[in-house]
Amino acid sequence: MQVGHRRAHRAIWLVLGVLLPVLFVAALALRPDLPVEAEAVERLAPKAGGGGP
Amino acid sequence: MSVKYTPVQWNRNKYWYDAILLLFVVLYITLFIRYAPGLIQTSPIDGQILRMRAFGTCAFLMLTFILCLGPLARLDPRFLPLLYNRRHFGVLTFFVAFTHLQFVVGWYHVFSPVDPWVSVLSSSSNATSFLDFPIEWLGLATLVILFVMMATSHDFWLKFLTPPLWKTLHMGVYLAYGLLVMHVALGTLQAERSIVYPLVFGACPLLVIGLHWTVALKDYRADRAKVSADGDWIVASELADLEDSHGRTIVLPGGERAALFRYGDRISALSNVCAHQNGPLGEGCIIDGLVTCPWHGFQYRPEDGCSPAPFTEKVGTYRVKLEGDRVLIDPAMLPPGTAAEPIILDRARRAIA
Repeated sequence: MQVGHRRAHRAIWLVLGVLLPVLFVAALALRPDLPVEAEAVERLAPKAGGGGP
Repeated sequence: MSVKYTPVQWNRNKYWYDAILLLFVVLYITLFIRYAPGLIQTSPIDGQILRMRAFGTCAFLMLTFILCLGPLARLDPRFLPLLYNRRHFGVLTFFVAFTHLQFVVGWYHVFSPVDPWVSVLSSSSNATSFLDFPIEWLGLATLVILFVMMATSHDFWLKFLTPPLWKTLHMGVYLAYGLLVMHVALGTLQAERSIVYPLVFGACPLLVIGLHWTVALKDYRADRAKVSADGDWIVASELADLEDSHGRTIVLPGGERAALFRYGDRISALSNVCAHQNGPLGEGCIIDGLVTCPWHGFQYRPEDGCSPAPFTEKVGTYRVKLEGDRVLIDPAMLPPGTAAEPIILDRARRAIA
């Protein structure tokens, strides 16, 4: 039984050792650019004399 | 080993272990909440999210450390005391992770029109996308695995399920860790631009993988080492290489292992697998004349592999003999608890002379 467990351990860590770094780096490399933080814009006062769009 | 049932056999070591563990957790969370906003967080952060991250990162680091303990103890016996109470470490990790979930639910899902727990599972469901994969599913799957491990961590379940099945079940922690790494990579790291998070979250799995690969390589080399045989018997060791009261692991044909012990003027061999949690007896030592497992201190008589009365655990034994200065072992394991005559050095030397 101990032989089976040792082999299972090796197989699991071989798979995880390859898969995890690849997925981790892919997740970092593919992450989208965050939107540029917009500065506060003052609300424009309505034009004199009304007028809409 | 217990004669009468006690839920947890507390002792001074366990109290100290748990107290120090708890202290570290409290210290980490306090320091994170106090200093992370200035040091790690590049943008302003709400207190609830800060607490969420404090508990989340703490659980991540704890699970990383737990997974490092096994290979570290194999590489350097000084880490063995940390392995002793690893199950309590795991239980505490579950509760820290569960607290993280409570903050997540309380912040993101409590005002949902549906039940918050339904919301956790259904709010983001773009399962076909890599980057937008629902990280809640990954986190919850991790937590479910940790819960199963926590619930079955007691020795009752170890005995009920038998050590091989229990160990197989608890190997689920590797899957949990993989899910957790992806939970972080597709979650926090997608929105966070601080360099600290990717460095820490990337270095942790690399450390765990590196340690496990190192031990696997060491085991692999031991398995591949040429075994010299003398008929059906295997040359286990040179007599001079056997240190008194210390074990030596012998790789047998087929990959099984035996634990060889010299104790005074006697030499015996047992199965390398402890009956408790399959710990490596060959890495243990002789205490009070008994072979003692390095993991949790289970003990066996070297001559017949039986635990001393009133305990009932048994492991297999091997026949051994001395030829010149070489200790030979018969690779056919005798049934657990079978007496195998030890080598008695003075008598063996007289017989050779």
